[in-house]
Amino acid sequence: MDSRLARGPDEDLERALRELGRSVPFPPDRDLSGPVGARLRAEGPPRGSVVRMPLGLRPARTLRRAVILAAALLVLAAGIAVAGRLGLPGVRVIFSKTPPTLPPTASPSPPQGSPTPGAPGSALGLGERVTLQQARSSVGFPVRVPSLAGLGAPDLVYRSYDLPGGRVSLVYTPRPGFPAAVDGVGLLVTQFHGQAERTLLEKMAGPGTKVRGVRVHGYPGLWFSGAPHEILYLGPGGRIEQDTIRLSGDALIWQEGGVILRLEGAPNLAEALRVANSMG
Amino acid sequence: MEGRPLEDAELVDRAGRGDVSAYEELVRRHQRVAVRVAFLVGGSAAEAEDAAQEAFVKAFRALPRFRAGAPFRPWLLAIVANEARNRRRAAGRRDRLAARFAAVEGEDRPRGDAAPSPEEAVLAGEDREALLRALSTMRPEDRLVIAYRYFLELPEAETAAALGWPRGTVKSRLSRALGRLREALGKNDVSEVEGADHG
Repeated sequence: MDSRLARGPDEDLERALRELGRSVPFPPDRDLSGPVGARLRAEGPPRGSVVRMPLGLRPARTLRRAVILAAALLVLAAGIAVAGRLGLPGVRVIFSKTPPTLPPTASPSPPQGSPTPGAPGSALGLGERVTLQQARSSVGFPVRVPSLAGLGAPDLVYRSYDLPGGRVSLVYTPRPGFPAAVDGVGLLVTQFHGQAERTLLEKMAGPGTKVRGVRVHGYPGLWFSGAPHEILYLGPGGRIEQDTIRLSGDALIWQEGGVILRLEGAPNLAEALRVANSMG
Repeated sequence: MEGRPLEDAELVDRAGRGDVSAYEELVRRHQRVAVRVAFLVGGSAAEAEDAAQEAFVKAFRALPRFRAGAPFRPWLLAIVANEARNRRRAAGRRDRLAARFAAVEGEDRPRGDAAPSPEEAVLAGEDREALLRALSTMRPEDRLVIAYRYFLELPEAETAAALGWPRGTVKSRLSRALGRLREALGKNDVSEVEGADHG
């Protein structure tokens, strides 16, 4: 009986797991170098070479001003005219001529017929579930929470350490004005330490994405709407961290007191700003 | 290739300067583990290959931002895991690894794999089912850290990268995951031997 594995020595359990692994039906081996190579040759040199060109952008030494300048250069390089100012410390927007290659975001309604095995947001890779107090005491920045009447307290709080200083995500289940977007989540507020020199947040915006400069509490912010866009962080050492969260595709991002905040799931800019401005 | 196989780092350097042939060699070296990680994350064999392919293309584009001298594979696997996760979500699929485990019993054996080895046959029947059942009740992260370490035998650095965890936390989190696996196995006992006292 399995009690042998449950209570036996580690080695037995580990051996059993290795043996189990040998019977997992992995897909058959196939050579991907042909199709990958063909695509790369068809697309030309790495797009990212444009990123390197302007300033040899390395997060550790990047100055705030350089980030803004690089963003402006990228916009020019991509031949896309964008009205207004796009400078947002710690955030870099990369425009591409082609839309992000990820498939479009799932339809706004949650998948039908599949029972939710976990809590809302648990499938979004937000980290561990914690209490708000635990989150506050374990990350390197002050955690802000919306106080908008009618919104109430976040239903769930997640914390992860995939970025220096940690990252906290507040999850609100669907409620009036904030219908479910993905995985039982109506509104998602993410925040993390965003020193311009250390962490860069990139948005890869395709041709269908609109970007608008806004102000939150007087701080600079950006509103992304329209076509889905993907989010890439440049983590420590220049490692690229691809964000995995995509709700409606519309997002408000702003920087306040060294913290970058992102709000997703609001039905429009006005609602997003109402929530954002209520965050003390 | 020349007299000796090039190191990953040299291939990465060449690829970063636009040498697609060098990158193709990197793809060949790492495609197997990439597809397997994509499969474990995404839960779909059909999608795993597409996800891995897409991840290779994205990694190539991101090479100019890759830190020179850093190991390529952990970085690649982080991109692969993200790609597979995004696709799973975009398709509205839940974590289906559990379902895949449950289905293992009835599946055709994967093409190219040998018949069950004698060792494999040792883990038969009840133990195997109990493990599958216990794993299917666990959180995706617990299941993945176990799968990366024991099914794919990935080193800690690559496991950490694929999960987006700080490297130093893999050991302790794996240990906790194994603890929870034991608990889940214990619960199986209880449900089967009703009323038994397991202290």
